[in-house]
Amino acid sequence: MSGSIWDHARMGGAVGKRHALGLWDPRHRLASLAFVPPVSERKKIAGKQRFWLVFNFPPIAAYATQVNAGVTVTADWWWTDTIFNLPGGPNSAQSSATLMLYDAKSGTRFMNTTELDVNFAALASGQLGGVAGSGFPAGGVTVKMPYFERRITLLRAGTQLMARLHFAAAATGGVTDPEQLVLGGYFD
Amino acid sequence: MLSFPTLTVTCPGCRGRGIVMDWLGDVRICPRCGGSGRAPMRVKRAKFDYSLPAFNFTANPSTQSQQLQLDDDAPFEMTAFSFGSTSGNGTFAGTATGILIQLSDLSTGWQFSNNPLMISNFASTNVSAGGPTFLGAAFPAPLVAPYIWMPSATVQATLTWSLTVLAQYVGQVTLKGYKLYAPDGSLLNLAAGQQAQQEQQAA
Repeated sequence: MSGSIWDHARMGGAVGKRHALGLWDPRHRLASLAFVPPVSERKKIAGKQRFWLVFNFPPIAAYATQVNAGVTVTADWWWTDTIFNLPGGPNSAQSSATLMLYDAKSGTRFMNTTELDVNFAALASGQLGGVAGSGFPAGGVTVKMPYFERRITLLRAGTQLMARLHFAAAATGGVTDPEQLVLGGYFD
Repeated sequence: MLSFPTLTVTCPGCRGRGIVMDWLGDVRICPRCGGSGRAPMRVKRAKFDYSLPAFNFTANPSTQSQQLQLDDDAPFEMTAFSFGSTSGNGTFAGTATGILIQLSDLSTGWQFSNNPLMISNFASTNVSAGGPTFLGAAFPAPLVAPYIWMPSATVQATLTWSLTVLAQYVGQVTLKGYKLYAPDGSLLNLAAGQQAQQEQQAA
């Protein structure tokens, strides 16, 4: 028996090629289970259809300090992970961004106050992600590092999600490249 | 003795006795609760993040505390915490070991560590020549078993930094997790659960 984590002989008779250690997140390796939904949660989405909910924020106008984007959930949908991309990257004067996500229909908020973007979701920064003096990590982390929910959340059809992005200061001259917030999940 | 919040009800399998009779009439430990007499309360989870008020870093070494009282409508199951800063790409003139954090639950008096933690041991950081980069939700600090905050509990975080920081930058501690409601979406009857638990402990 090899030491490979993909060696199905280690599964004690399991047929087919599968990961001997179960769900495996390369970021966290043997500690993966602490970061991802447990089996009891993942059973809820077994065989379901993957779907991303995408919030496309409009370009940031000059002197603007916030942008909004909304998405309506069309069918019951399980929220499992989150990724946030700032390809246009606010400029250094803006320093940082905070986010508020809420259900516009019921008024339910998903956070008590505006939350620092990097604390809400793994932040993927693109071309401007290393601006000196800005709050956006150099290099970015991209979708290879999403934030996984430990308990997946069911959002009912008709839920109207709204996301508001605040910047610490107004954009100087505006930013044309749009920001994008992506909630990953599965249709029920 | 500290009193920790637990979200349990009287075990419906053994009615809190911890033992059951099998079909032969022998006494067995209740398979449902393992003999504790308590079973987990059935809950419905709603994703929620609590962010403490921002820490405003000052240029000189200093200590700041921030408190946040949680909402009174539901207990909060904390599964991870994250720390982010607007100095994402290294404007701390030093290493992350120069920032210490102490997290406390003032409602139970529980401190999460006996001494303040270096921020790298609390939140994910990349330490580069220019200073730490906080990775936030990309690498949250997970709790293998979640911590339950009671409704209206007060969270306190104290940050101490012994290094020079550019003053305009802020840091934010976020508790990531889920609000807990009854399966039908109504508020949990915590008083009934706690009273039953106290009666059982007293018996």
